[in-house]
Amino acid sequence: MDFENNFASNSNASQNRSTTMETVSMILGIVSIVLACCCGIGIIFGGLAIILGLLSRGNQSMGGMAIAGVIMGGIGIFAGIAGIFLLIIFMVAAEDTGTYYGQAIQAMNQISFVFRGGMI
Amino acid sequence: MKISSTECKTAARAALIGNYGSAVGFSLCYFIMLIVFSAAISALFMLPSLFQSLRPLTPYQNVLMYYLPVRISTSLVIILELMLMPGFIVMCLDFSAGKKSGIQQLWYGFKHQLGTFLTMALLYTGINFLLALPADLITLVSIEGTPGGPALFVLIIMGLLNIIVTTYIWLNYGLVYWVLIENPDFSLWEGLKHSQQLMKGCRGSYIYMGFSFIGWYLLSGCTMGIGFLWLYPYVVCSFTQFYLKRKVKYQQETILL
Repeated sequence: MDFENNFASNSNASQNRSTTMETVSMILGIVSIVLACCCGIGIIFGGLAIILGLLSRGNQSMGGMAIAGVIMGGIGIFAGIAGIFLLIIFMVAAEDTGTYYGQAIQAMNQISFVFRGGMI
Repeated sequence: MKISSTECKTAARAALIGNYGSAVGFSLCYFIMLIVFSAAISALFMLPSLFQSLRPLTPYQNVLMYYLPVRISTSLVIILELMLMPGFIVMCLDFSAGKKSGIQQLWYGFKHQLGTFLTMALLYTGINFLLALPADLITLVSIEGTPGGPALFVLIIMGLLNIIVTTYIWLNYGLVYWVLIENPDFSLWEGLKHSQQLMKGCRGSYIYMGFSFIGWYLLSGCTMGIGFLWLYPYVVCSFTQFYLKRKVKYQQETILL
Protein backbone atom coordinates (compact mmCIF):
# COMPACT_ATOMS: atom_id res chain seq x y z
CA MET A 1 0.00 0.00 0.00
CA ASP A 2 1.46 3.31 -0.98
CA PHE A 3 0.39 5.93 1.48
CA GLU A 4 3.57 7.95 1.47
CA ASN A 5 3.23 9.35 -2.07
CA ASN A 6 0.10 11.20 -1.15
CA PHE A 7 1.23 12.16 2.32
CA ALA A 8 3.30 15.20 1.39
CA SER A 9 0.64 16.66 -0.87
CA ASN A 10 -2.02 16.10 1.76
CA SER A 11 -0.31 18.40 4.26
CA ASN A 12 -1.63 21.33 2.25
CA ALA A 13 -4.82 19.68 1.08
CA SER A 14 -7.06 20.30 4.07
CA GLN A 15 -6.67 23.90 5.00
CA ASN A 16 -10.21 24.61 6.04
CA ARG A 17 -11.76 24.54 9.45
CA SER A 18 -14.94 22.60 9.97
CA THR A 19 -17.67 25.21 10.21
CA THR A 20 -20.27 22.52 10.93
CA MET A 21 -18.34 21.39 13.99
CA GLU A 22 -17.88 25.00 15.09
CA THR A 23 -21.62 25.59 14.91
CA VAL A 24 -22.41 22.34 16.73
CA SER A 25 -19.83 23.23 19.37
CA MET A 26 -21.46 26.61 19.97
CA ILE A 27 -24.95 25.09 20.16
CA LEU A 28 -23.75 22.43 22.61
CA GLY A 29 -22.05 25.15 24.65
CA ILE A 30 -25.34 27.05 24.95
CA VAL A 31 -27.21 23.84 25.80
CA SER A 32 -24.60 23.00 28.46
CA ILE A 33 -25.20 26.32 30.22
CA VAL A 34 -28.97 25.94 30.00
CA LEU A 35 -28.82 22.40 31.41
CA ALA A 36 -26.09 23.13 33.93
CA CYS A 37 -28.45 22.74 36.87
CA CYS A 38 -29.93 19.43 35.61
CA CYS A 39 -27.95 16.91 37.64
CA GLY A 40 -24.72 17.22 35.65
CA ILE A 41 -26.21 16.93 32.15
CA GLY A 42 -24.56 20.26 31.39
CA ILE A 43 -21.18 18.63 32.02
CA ILE A 44 -21.78 16.11 29.21
CA PHE A 45 -22.78 18.80 26.72
CA GLY A 46 -20.02 21.12 27.91
CA GLY A 47 -17.39 18.41 27.41
CA LEU A 48 -18.68 17.71 23.90
CA ALA A 49 -18.73 21.43 23.08
CA ILE A 50 -15.07 21.75 24.09
CA ILE A 51 -14.01 18.60 22.20
CA LEU A 52 -15.79 19.61 18.99
CA GLY A 53 -14.62 23.22 19.29
CA LEU A 54 -10.98 22.23 19.67
CA LEU A 55 -11.08 19.63 16.91
CA SER A 56 -12.89 21.90 14.46
CA ARG A 57 -9.86 24.15 14.00
CA GLY A 58 -7.97 21.75 11.70
CA ASN A 59 -4.54 23.24 11.11
CA GLN A 60 -5.71 26.82 11.55
CA SER A 61 -6.60 28.92 14.55
CA MET A 62 -10.04 28.49 16.07
CA GLY A 63 -13.00 30.33 14.56
CA GLY A 64 -15.27 32.65 16.49
CA MET A 65 -18.05 30.13 16.98
CA ALA A 66 -15.58 27.45 18.11
CA ILE A 67 -14.11 29.86 20.68
CA ALA A 68 -17.63 30.68 21.88
CA GLY A 69 -18.43 26.97 22.07
CA VAL A 70 -15.28 26.18 24.06
CA ILE A 71 -15.85 29.07 26.49
CA MET A 72 -19.52 28.26 26.99
CA GLY A 73 -18.71 24.56 27.29
CA GLY A 74 -16.19 25.42 30.01
CA ILE A 75 -18.75 27.57 31.80
CA GLY A 76 -21.30 24.75 31.42
CA ILE A 77 -18.93 22.21 32.98
CA PHE A 78 -18.03 24.58 35.80
CA ALA A 79 -21.69 25.43 36.43
CA GLY A 80 -22.62 21.74 36.26
CA ILE A 81 -20.01 20.80 38.86
CA ALA A 82 -21.07 23.75 41.02
CA GLY A 83 -24.69 22.65 40.64
CA ILE A 84 -23.86 19.13 41.83
CA PHE A 85 -21.99 20.54 44.84
CA LEU A 86 -24.89 22.86 45.64
CA LEU A 87 -27.33 19.96 45.37
CA ILE A 88 -25.23 17.94 47.81
CA ILE A 89 -25.02 20.89 50.22
CA PHE A 90 -28.76 21.43 49.84
CA MET A 91 -29.51 17.79 50.61
CA VAL A 92 -27.19 17.76 53.61
CA ALA A 93 -28.79 20.95 54.86
CA ALA A 94 -32.20 19.36 54.45
CA GLU A 95 -31.27 16.85 57.12
CA ASP A 96 -31.17 19.69 59.59
CA THR A 97 -34.75 21.03 59.71
CA GLY A 98 -33.60 24.00 61.76
CA THR A 99 -32.15 25.71 58.68
CA TYR A 100 -34.04 27.71 56.11
CA TYR A 101 -33.19 25.18 53.35
CA GLY A 102 -34.27 22.31 55.56
CA GLN A 103 -37.66 23.92 56.14
CA ALA A 104 -38.00 24.66 52.43
CA ILE A 105 -37.23 21.04 51.52
CA GLN A 106 -39.70 19.78 54.10
CA ALA A 107 -42.40 22.10 52.74
CA MET A 108 -41.68 20.88 49.20
CA ASN A 109 -41.85 17.27 50.32
CA GLN A 110 -45.20 17.89 51.99
CA ILE A 111 -46.59 19.57 48.85
CA SER A 112 -45.38 16.71 46.67
CA PHE A 113 -46.88 14.21 49.16
CA VAL A 114 -50.27 15.97 48.98
CA PHE A 115 -50.15 16.05 45.16
CA ARG A 116 -49.49 12.31 45.12
CA GLY A 117 -52.76 11.78 47.02
CA GLY A 118 -51.45 11.64 50.57
CA MET A 119 -52.59 13.57 53.58
CA ILE A 120 -50.54 15.78 55.87
CA MET B 1 15.72 13.12 17.47
CA LYS B 2 12.58 15.00 18.29
CA ILE B 3 9.25 14.70 16.57
CA SER B 4 6.94 17.52 17.54
CA SER B 5 3.74 16.34 19.18
CA THR B 6 2.02 19.61 18.24
CA GLU B 7 2.89 19.16 14.57
CA CYS B 8 1.57 15.60 14.57
CA LYS B 9 -1.68 16.67 16.22
CA THR B 10 -2.15 19.63 13.87
CA ALA B 11 -1.60 17.39 10.84
CA ALA B 12 -4.02 14.81 12.33
CA ARG B 13 -6.73 17.44 12.80
CA ALA B 14 -6.18 18.69 9.25
CA ALA B 15 -6.42 15.14 7.88
CA LEU B 16 -9.64 14.54 9.78
CA ILE B 17 -11.41 17.70 8.61
CA GLY B 18 -14.11 16.62 6.17
CA ASN B 19 -13.75 13.01 7.30
CA TYR B 20 -15.25 13.19 10.77
CA GLY B 21 -18.49 11.54 9.60
CA SER B 22 -16.65 8.40 8.49
CA ALA B 23 -14.27 8.49 11.45
CA VAL B 24 -17.02 8.83 14.06
CA GLY B 25 -19.10 6.16 12.29
CA PHE B 26 -16.09 3.86 12.37
CA SER B 27 -15.49 4.56 16.07
CA LEU B 28 -19.15 3.91 16.82
CA CYS B 29 -19.10 0.51 15.08
CA TYR B 30 -15.76 -0.30 16.72
CA PHE B 31 -17.04 0.45 20.22
CA ILE B 32 -20.42 -1.22 19.65
CA MET B 33 -18.71 -4.38 18.44
CA LEU B 34 -16.38 -4.44 21.43
CA ILE B 35 -19.20 -3.77 23.91
CA VAL B 36 -21.55 -6.35 22.37
CA PHE B 37 -18.80 -8.97 22.12
CA SER B 38 -17.65 -8.24 25.66
CA ALA B 39 -21.21 -8.49 27.03
CA ALA B 40 -21.94 -11.70 25.09
CA ILE B 41 -18.72 -13.41 26.08
CA SER B 42 -19.08 -12.35 29.74
CA ALA B 43 -22.65 -13.64 29.82
CA LEU B 44 -21.56 -16.93 28.28
CA PHE B 45 -18.71 -17.47 30.71
CA MET B 46 -20.51 -16.14 33.77
CA LEU B 47 -23.67 -18.16 33.24
CA PRO B 48 -22.54 -21.15 35.35
CA SER B 49 -21.87 -18.88 38.35
CA LEU B 50 -25.58 -17.91 38.42
CA PHE B 51 -26.47 -21.46 39.36
CA GLN B 52 -23.85 -21.59 42.08
CA SER B 53 -25.13 -21.89 45.62
CA LEU B 54 -24.17 -19.28 48.19
CA ARG B 55 -21.89 -21.67 50.03
CA PRO B 56 -18.25 -20.52 50.33
CA LEU B 57 -16.15 -21.89 47.47
CA THR B 58 -12.91 -23.81 47.70
CA PRO B 59 -9.92 -22.20 45.95
CA TYR B 60 -10.24 -24.83 43.19
CA GLN B 61 -13.90 -23.91 42.62
CA ASN B 62 -12.96 -20.24 42.68
CA VAL B 63 -10.46 -20.76 39.87
CA LEU B 64 -12.98 -22.73 37.84
CA MET B 65 -16.01 -20.53 38.41
CA TYR B 66 -14.56 -17.03 38.48
CA TYR B 67 -10.88 -16.69 37.65
CA LEU B 68 -10.78 -18.64 34.41
CA PRO B 69 -14.03 -17.22 32.93
CA VAL B 70 -12.98 -13.63 33.71
CA ARG B 71 -9.46 -14.15 32.33
CA ILE B 72 -10.62 -15.94 29.18
CA SER B 73 -13.36 -13.42 28.40
CA THR B 74 -11.00 -10.47 28.98
CA SER B 75 -8.37 -12.06 26.75
CA LEU B 76 -10.88 -12.69 23.96
CA VAL B 77 -12.03 -9.06 24.08
CA ILE B 78 -8.41 -7.85 23.92
CA ILE B 79 -7.79 -10.15 20.92
CA LEU B 80 -10.82 -8.73 19.10
CA GLU B 81 -9.71 -5.17 19.93
CA LEU B 82 -6.23 -5.87 18.56
CA MET B 83 -7.69 -7.46 15.45
CA LEU B 84 -9.88 -4.42 14.75
CA MET B 85 -7.03 -1.97 15.34
CA PRO B 86 -5.42 -2.43 11.85
CA GLY B 87 -8.69 -1.25 10.27
CA PHE B 88 -8.61 1.90 12.35
CA ILE B 89 -5.01 2.56 11.37
CA VAL B 90 -5.66 1.91 7.66
CA MET B 91 -8.52 4.42 7.81
CA CYS B 92 -6.23 7.04 9.38
CA LEU B 93 -3.48 6.30 6.84
CA ASP B 94 -6.06 6.81 4.09
CA PHE B 95 -7.14 10.15 5.59
CA SER B 96 -3.50 11.21 5.89
CA ALA B 97 -3.03 10.36 2.22
CA GLY B 98 -6.00 12.54 1.31
CA LYS B 99 -8.19 9.54 0.41
CA LYS B 100 -11.72 8.78 1.49
CA SER B 101 -12.12 5.87 3.84
CA GLY B 102 -14.42 4.58 6.51
CA ILE B 103 -16.35 1.63 7.83
CA GLN B 104 -15.28 -0.68 4.97
CA GLN B 105 -11.87 -0.93 6.63
CA LEU B 106 -13.25 -2.31 9.91
CA TRP B 107 -12.41 -5.92 8.99
CA TYR B 108 -9.00 -5.14 7.51
CA GLY B 109 -7.22 -7.19 10.19
CA PHE B 110 -9.34 -10.23 9.33
CA LYS B 111 -9.10 -9.84 5.55
CA HIS B 112 -5.42 -8.99 5.14
CA GLN B 113 -2.43 -10.57 6.90
CA LEU B 114 -4.78 -12.47 9.18
CA GLY B 115 -2.03 -14.82 10.39
CA THR B 116 0.37 -11.99 11.24
CA PHE B 117 -2.16 -9.85 13.10
CA LEU B 118 -3.65 -12.85 14.91
CA THR B 119 -0.19 -14.06 16.01
CA MET B 120 0.56 -10.60 17.34
CA ALA B 121 -2.74 -10.37 19.19
CA LEU B 122 -2.21 -13.82 20.71
CA LEU B 123 1.38 -12.98 21.64
CA TYR B 124 0.39 -9.75 23.36
CA THR B 125 -2.54 -11.36 25.16
CA GLY B 126 -0.33 -14.29 26.22
CA ILE B 127 2.30 -11.95 27.69
CA ASN B 128 -0.45 -10.03 29.49
CA PHE B 129 -1.92 -13.26 30.82
CA LEU B 130 1.43 -14.57 32.08
CA LEU B 131 2.28 -11.25 33.75
CA ALA B 132 -1.04 -11.16 35.58
CA LEU B 133 -0.94 -14.85 36.53
CA PRO B 134 1.25 -14.73 39.69
CA ALA B 135 -0.66 -11.78 41.15
CA ASP B 136 -3.98 -13.47 40.40
CA LEU B 137 -2.84 -16.72 41.97
CA ILE B 138 -1.71 -14.96 45.14
CA THR B 139 -5.04 -13.14 45.37
CA LEU B 140 -6.89 -16.42 44.86
CA VAL B 141 -4.85 -18.30 47.46
CA SER B 142 -5.37 -15.56 50.02
CA ILE B 143 -9.05 -15.30 49.17
CA GLU B 144 -10.01 -15.79 52.81
CA GLY B 145 -8.35 -12.56 53.82
CA THR B 146 -6.27 -9.73 52.37
CA PRO B 147 -2.77 -10.79 51.36
CA GLY B 148 -0.18 -9.63 53.82
CA GLY B 149 3.59 -9.85 54.42
CA PRO B 150 5.53 -11.71 51.72
CA ALA B 151 2.44 -12.18 49.53
CA LEU B 152 1.85 -8.42 49.41
CA PHE B 153 5.53 -7.87 48.58
CA VAL B 154 5.29 -10.33 45.66
CA LEU B 155 2.11 -8.59 44.48
CA ILE B 156 3.88 -5.21 44.42
CA ILE B 157 6.92 -6.67 42.62
CA MET B 158 4.69 -8.35 40.03
CA GLY B 159 2.75 -5.10 39.54
CA LEU B 160 6.00 -3.19 38.93
CA LEU B 161 7.25 -5.91 36.57
CA ASN B 162 3.99 -5.70 34.65
CA ILE B 163 4.39 -1.93 34.25
CA ILE B 164 8.02 -2.27 33.14
CA VAL B 165 7.31 -5.00 30.55
CA THR B 166 4.25 -3.17 29.18
CA THR B 167 6.26 0.06 28.87
CA TYR B 168 9.08 -1.82 27.15
CA ILE B 169 6.64 -3.32 24.62
CA TRP B 170 4.97 0.07 24.11
CA LEU B 171 8.26 1.90 23.57
CA ASN B 172 9.80 -0.66 21.22
CA TYR B 173 6.94 -2.12 19.25
CA GLY B 174 4.44 0.73 19.40
CA LEU B 175 4.65 1.31 15.63
CA VAL B 176 4.43 -2.34 14.57
CA TYR B 177 0.87 -2.06 13.20
CA TRP B 178 1.80 0.80 10.89
CA VAL B 179 4.92 -1.06 9.73
CA LEU B 180 2.98 -4.26 9.00
CA ILE B 181 0.18 -2.44 7.16
CA GLU B 182 2.59 -0.54 4.94
CA ASN B 183 4.76 -3.59 4.34
CA PRO B 184 2.39 -6.52 3.81
CA ASP B 185 5.25 -8.80 2.80
CA PHE B 186 6.90 -8.44 6.22
CA SER B 187 6.67 -11.30 8.70
CA LEU B 188 5.69 -10.46 12.28
CA TRP B 189 9.31 -10.65 13.45
CA GLU B 190 10.50 -8.37 10.65
CA GLY B 191 7.73 -5.93 11.57
CA LEU B 192 8.71 -5.98 15.24
CA LYS B 193 12.37 -5.48 14.36
CA HIS B 194 11.61 -2.59 12.01
CA SER B 195 9.36 -0.97 14.62
CA GLN B 196 12.19 -1.19 17.14
CA GLN B 197 14.54 0.51 14.66
CA LEU B 198 12.00 3.27 14.00
CA MET B 199 11.48 3.87 17.71
CA LYS B 200 15.18 4.32 18.35
CA GLY B 201 15.86 7.93 19.31
CA CYS B 202 12.27 9.09 19.42
CA ARG B 203 10.93 7.24 22.45
CA GLY B 204 10.77 10.48 24.43
CA SER B 205 8.58 12.12 21.80
CA TYR B 206 6.39 9.01 21.69
CA ILE B 207 5.89 9.01 25.47
CA TYR B 208 5.25 12.75 25.47
CA MET B 209 2.62 12.42 22.78
CA GLY B 210 0.94 9.53 24.59
CA PHE B 211 0.72 11.51 27.82
CA SER B 212 -0.37 14.70 26.07
CA PHE B 213 -3.79 13.12 25.51
CA ILE B 214 -4.51 12.71 29.24
CA GLY B 215 -6.52 15.95 29.36
CA TRP B 216 -8.52 14.83 26.33
CA TYR B 217 -9.27 11.48 27.95
CA LEU B 218 -10.48 13.20 31.13
CA LEU B 219 -12.67 15.53 29.09
CA SER B 220 -14.12 12.61 27.11
CA GLY B 221 -14.76 10.81 30.38
CA CYS B 222 -16.91 13.79 31.44
CA THR B 223 -19.13 13.20 28.41
CA MET B 224 -20.07 9.69 29.55
CA GLY B 225 -17.78 8.29 26.85
CA ILE B 226 -19.52 10.01 23.91
CA GLY B 227 -16.45 12.19 23.35
CA PHE B 228 -14.35 9.10 22.66
CA LEU B 229 -16.10 8.79 19.29
CA TRP B 230 -14.21 11.90 18.18
CA LEU B 231 -11.15 11.47 20.37
CA TYR B 232 -10.18 7.96 19.29
CA PRO B 233 -9.78 8.80 15.57
CA TYR B 234 -7.85 11.92 16.60
CA VAL B 235 -5.45 9.89 18.77
CA VAL B 236 -4.92 7.18 16.13
CA CYS B 237 -4.46 9.83 13.41
CA SER B 238 -1.91 11.68 15.57
CA PHE B 239 0.13 8.49 16.02
CA THR B 240 -0.23 7.84 12.30
CA GLN B 241 1.30 11.26 11.65
CA PHE B 242 4.03 10.43 14.16
CA TYR B 243 4.79 7.24 12.23
CA LEU B 244 4.79 8.99 8.86
CA LYS B 245 7.13 11.75 10.08
CA ARG B 246 9.42 9.23 11.76
CA LYS B 247 9.50 7.11 8.61
CA VAL B 248 10.60 10.06 6.48
CA LYS B 249 13.38 10.89 8.97
CA TYR B 250 14.45 7.24 9.12
CA GLN B 251 14.70 7.08 5.32
CA GLN B 252 16.80 10.26 5.33
CA GLU B 253 19.10 8.78 8.00
CA THR B 254 19.47 5.53 6.04
CA ILE B 255 20.38 7.42 2.86
CA LEU B 256 22.96 9.52 4.76
CA LEU B 257 24.55 6.37 6.18
